Amino acid sequence: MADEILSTIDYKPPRRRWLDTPVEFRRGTWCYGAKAKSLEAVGLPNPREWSPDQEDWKLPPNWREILLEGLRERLERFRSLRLFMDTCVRCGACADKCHYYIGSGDPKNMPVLRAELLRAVYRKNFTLAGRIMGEFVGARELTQDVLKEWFYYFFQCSECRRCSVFCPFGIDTAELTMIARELLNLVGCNIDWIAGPVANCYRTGNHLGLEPHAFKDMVDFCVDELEEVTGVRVEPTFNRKGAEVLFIAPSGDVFADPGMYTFMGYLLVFHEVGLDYTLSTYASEGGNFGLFTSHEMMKRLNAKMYAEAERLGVKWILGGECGHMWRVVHQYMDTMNGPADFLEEPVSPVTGTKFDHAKSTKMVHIAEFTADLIRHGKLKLDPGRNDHLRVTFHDSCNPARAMGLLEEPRYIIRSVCRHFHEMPENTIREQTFCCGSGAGLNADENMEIRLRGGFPRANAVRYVREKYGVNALACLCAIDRAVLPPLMEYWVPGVDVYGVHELVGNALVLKGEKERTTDLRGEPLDRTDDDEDL
Amino acid sequence: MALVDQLRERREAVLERWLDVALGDYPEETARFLRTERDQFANPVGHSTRRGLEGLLGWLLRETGRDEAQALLDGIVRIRALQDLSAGRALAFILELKELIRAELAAEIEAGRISQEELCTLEKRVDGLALLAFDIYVECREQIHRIRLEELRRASWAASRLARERGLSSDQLARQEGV
Ligand code: SF4
Ligand code: SF4
Repeated sequence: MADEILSTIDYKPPRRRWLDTPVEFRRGTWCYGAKAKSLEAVGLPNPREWSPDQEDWKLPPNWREILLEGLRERLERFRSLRLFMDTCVRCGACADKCHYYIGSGDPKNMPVLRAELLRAVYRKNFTLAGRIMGEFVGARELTQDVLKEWFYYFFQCSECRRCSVFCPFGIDTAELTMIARELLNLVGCNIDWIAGPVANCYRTGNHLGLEPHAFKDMVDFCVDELEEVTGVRVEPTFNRKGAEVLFIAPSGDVFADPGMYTFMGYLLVFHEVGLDYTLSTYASEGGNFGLFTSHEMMKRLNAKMYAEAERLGVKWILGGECGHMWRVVHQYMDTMNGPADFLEEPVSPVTGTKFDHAKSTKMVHIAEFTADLIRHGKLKLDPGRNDHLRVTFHDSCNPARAMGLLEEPRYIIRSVCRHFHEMPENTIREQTFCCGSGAGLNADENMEIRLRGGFPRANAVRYVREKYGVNALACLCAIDRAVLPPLMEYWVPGVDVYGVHELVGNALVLKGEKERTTDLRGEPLDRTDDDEDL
Repeated sequence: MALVDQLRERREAVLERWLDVALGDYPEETARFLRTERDQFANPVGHSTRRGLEGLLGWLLRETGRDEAQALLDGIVRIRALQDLSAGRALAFILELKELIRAELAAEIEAGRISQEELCTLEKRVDGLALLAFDIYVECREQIHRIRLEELRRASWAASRLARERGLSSDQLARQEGV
């Protein structure tokens, strides 16, 4: 009987050419549209209430002209854009390198086809061949269906740049996604998970929109917790003029679980070496969702860091374990808002090390700072206090591919842990797989896309879990700390997520501390007497 | 046991055809990639599918327990439960094995070397797998929803702590803060 019924059902819908298949907005795959109030807060165009799964997107009547004019302007402004539009030879080297493609099997998640969505419209409107020969040369009119497809697929790219590592011409699809999103923003088609934090950050200085007293409350809470675990009371200061260093962390480290344990780690290190630093309740966010909106918005939000550093009169800026903040600092800050001549070239007051590479931005990554402390023997460490953890390390996309920060975190982890196991080579360092939720895609309504996109990463974690019993996934990014726990829960139960500085905080022996019985999370320690396992 | 012996002998051929069926649910270019890229880290979906089907075929021939079948199915269904496939399509590959076996062994069945009774027994086992897969599928979907809720809780962890301090409900606070 069952067979008879089944035999009447055709499970396989007919195949269609990808160009002819309009996008279907199936729940779980897309993010809610930007709310009017989020766009209004920063003066972005076309604020309105709308939803991507509805037919009418309430676009301005001349939306097509706006987009084409926007594209024309950007082709003139960014030489790289025109190069990326013209040089792709469709060799396919990038095609199967995107985690969203690997996890979903949807061809339009191949970087080359993702880019083609934009390129086809470029050809139609900005090349002679495209104008004359149309579809024969892969040119395409800009219709509402195409616009919807842009929205769907450019908000399914985490701007991780893995594909660019494999392209013989260095075409960076992440940059194309940035341009496409910038264009979408011209007609009000952002997602609220990006537009909301941008508006909040503009208003109060952090993504959650929490005000100075709330920020201070949370830091005080961390201080209390630390005293309980270590017996030592650390004393961070806020908005203190004349401090040597301004420290800026991603707000997720202050407000979210498990990010706050990483924040506790920072506080312990600063306390132990007696760093003369201050936190700012205004520059209370390292992250910059402007990067996922437009070049202008990125610049606006980034400017507050320098403005605050200047106001407080610090010498240089130290930055926490954030991912995309470092992309902004490393690749754009200097040309956008720099050079910061009012600051000094960063020098570690503890070791005297000059951070030459930060000569111009005046901003140092905390992994560099701490690795340097360890190298000079300035921290007393008891790695046995991390024996309950068998650790692997996820290279977060931006520190790895946008700034080449590959050795410092590993050096730190090896110094503070005795059980460390790398994931397979083609899933780490420059080839690292994205968490699946970067570039503002860490909303909850698109959980399916996130879990799909994160599968290649999770698959590699599962491998080291099965092989070495790994139970801790360390990372160097606040978005990772927020999104890897659900990813692990679905694919690799039994693996918890840690920031690198949380591991440092566990191992760091403070002057005058009491005997520790738990780690910073309150989990009992479990010192193993066997050999190191590095 | 003619059927089991025959299948054992043709295991490779059956596996390849079954793989074609399962991968046939993906667009052509993807199916090609899933089939040919053998690095398990570069191609976790193709690798898990192949490994899972291989195991399930072995399970059908060996008659081992439910737990093993569950684990094998989980490796495939967990992936398909997330992808752009309807529930029916995500699980159809299991039932399609029956047709595939009949086609592969057509000559033997025709010649009466394999009894209908044997075939029925095997097909019942395949049906059993399909039902088990259905349970796993539903559990995966429910888990996705649970994970969403849990994440909301985690993200608003700070908000709810502050709310407690200020005597607001976390909903009120979330609205106030715009989170
Ligand atoms: S940048 Fe990352 S997410 Fe975007 S297409 Fe390339 S690999 Fe995929
Ligand atoms: S690797 Fe580069 S040239 Fe080749 S298809 Fe991809 S983007 Fe085009």
